[in-house]
Amino acid sequence: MTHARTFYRWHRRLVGAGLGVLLLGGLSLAATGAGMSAPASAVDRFHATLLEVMQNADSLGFPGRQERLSPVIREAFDLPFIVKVVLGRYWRELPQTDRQRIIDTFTRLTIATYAARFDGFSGEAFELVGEKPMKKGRMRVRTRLVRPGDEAVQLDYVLQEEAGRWSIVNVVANGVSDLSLKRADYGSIMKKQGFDLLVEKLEAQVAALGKGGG
Amino acid sequence: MYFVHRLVPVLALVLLTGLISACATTPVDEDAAVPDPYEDLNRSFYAFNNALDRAIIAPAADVYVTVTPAPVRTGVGNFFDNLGYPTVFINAFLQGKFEQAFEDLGRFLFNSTFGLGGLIDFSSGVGLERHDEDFGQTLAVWGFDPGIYHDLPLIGPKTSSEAVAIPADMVTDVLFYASSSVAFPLGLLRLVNKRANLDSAIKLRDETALDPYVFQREAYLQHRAYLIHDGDPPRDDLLAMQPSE
Repeated sequence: MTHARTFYRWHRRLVGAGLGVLLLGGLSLAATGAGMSAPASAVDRFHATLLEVMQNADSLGFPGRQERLSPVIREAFDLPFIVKVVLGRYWRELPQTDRQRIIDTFTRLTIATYAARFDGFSGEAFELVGEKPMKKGRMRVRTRLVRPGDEAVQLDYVLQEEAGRWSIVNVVANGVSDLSLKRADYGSIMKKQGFDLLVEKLEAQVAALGKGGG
Repeated sequence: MYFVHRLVPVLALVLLTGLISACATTPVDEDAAVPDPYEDLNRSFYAFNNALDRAIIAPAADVYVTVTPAPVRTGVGNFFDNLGYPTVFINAFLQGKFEQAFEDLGRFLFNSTFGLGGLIDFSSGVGLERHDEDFGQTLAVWGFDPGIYHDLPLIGPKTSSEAVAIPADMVTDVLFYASSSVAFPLGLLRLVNKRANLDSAIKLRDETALDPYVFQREAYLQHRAYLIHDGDPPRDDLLAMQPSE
């Protein structure tokens, strides 16, 4: 099935869902601009910030990009939830202090990673491709990162809603789920080396990104 | 036929994979994201491949990148993509994707002629985009995919259906039918070009992963699922599997 056909099928479902929301009071539709749904808007706002950071990458420098991205990433992503899912069954056994410690480390690592990766602009653009509702009220927003002279990257975001706000809980790039990758990766370290060493390695990654940044 | 001798190493490899399957396996890791019964063996082959890569292949790829301007590298990439394209349209037919298969056949023919032997990707410009099909995906579509992960020496990550499919993919590759004096240097060039293209992915793995072997396994298996389902895998929702919050 071509992507175009699939998108139009989702589009019809989305229109149906949109009408349903209108009947229920439609506050979310009124809140979004340009007729975009709330989860798509959340992704769109995040992409707009990324583009801004990319276009000003050199003048901001790594510390500047980190500072600019920090509030945006904290708001756009539900990082505590992501850490909980990544650690899987190990999460239940962790005391609250350790939980807070790893959430803090992971947050700084996520910010540093984005600041390091989005360090320049060469005509990239993000395109919204479609949406697909998932189980438990979650939404999958499909986008594409278009890079001139290079193949486009299919970038899907999974978002969930809490108290009227949609936040990202997973990023899937060309079919590879970041959540699954981290779960396998961190899980392997948790199992073989334990929690303290996991945090130590993550902190080392944050430090390395800070040194390599410019 | 003079290329039959090339089947020997391929058959040896298939035999090796079969022997590995018959050998004692590591105890099943129930916590693992995916079952990896050959993990110990895979890890040792992974280490071997990495050592070989660092010693020989990566430096060769670096030289290649330094010496070859980007447009030439693009041309080289296009040329080899085209040589391997019969695999794509044959397997598209085998999977019943007839519309796509005809498009792919068209892509191959246009690129081979108007694209000057495949050097220019003429077809993408006329809307015949590139697809990725191989016999391993065909076997998976037909239902023969136990989904076991192998990290093979020299070859790298393969699922079990892909490993079995290696001879079939080789036989549908144009380079297989060339004489050794042509195939050997071209094969080396293809390897070095591919390694140059994979450089950012390998760097990402080495910078991001805490356990690079696991990272590669996970990324590879997900990528295969993405290819098999043509970009729309039936997601086993990781999030839906979590205990209630």
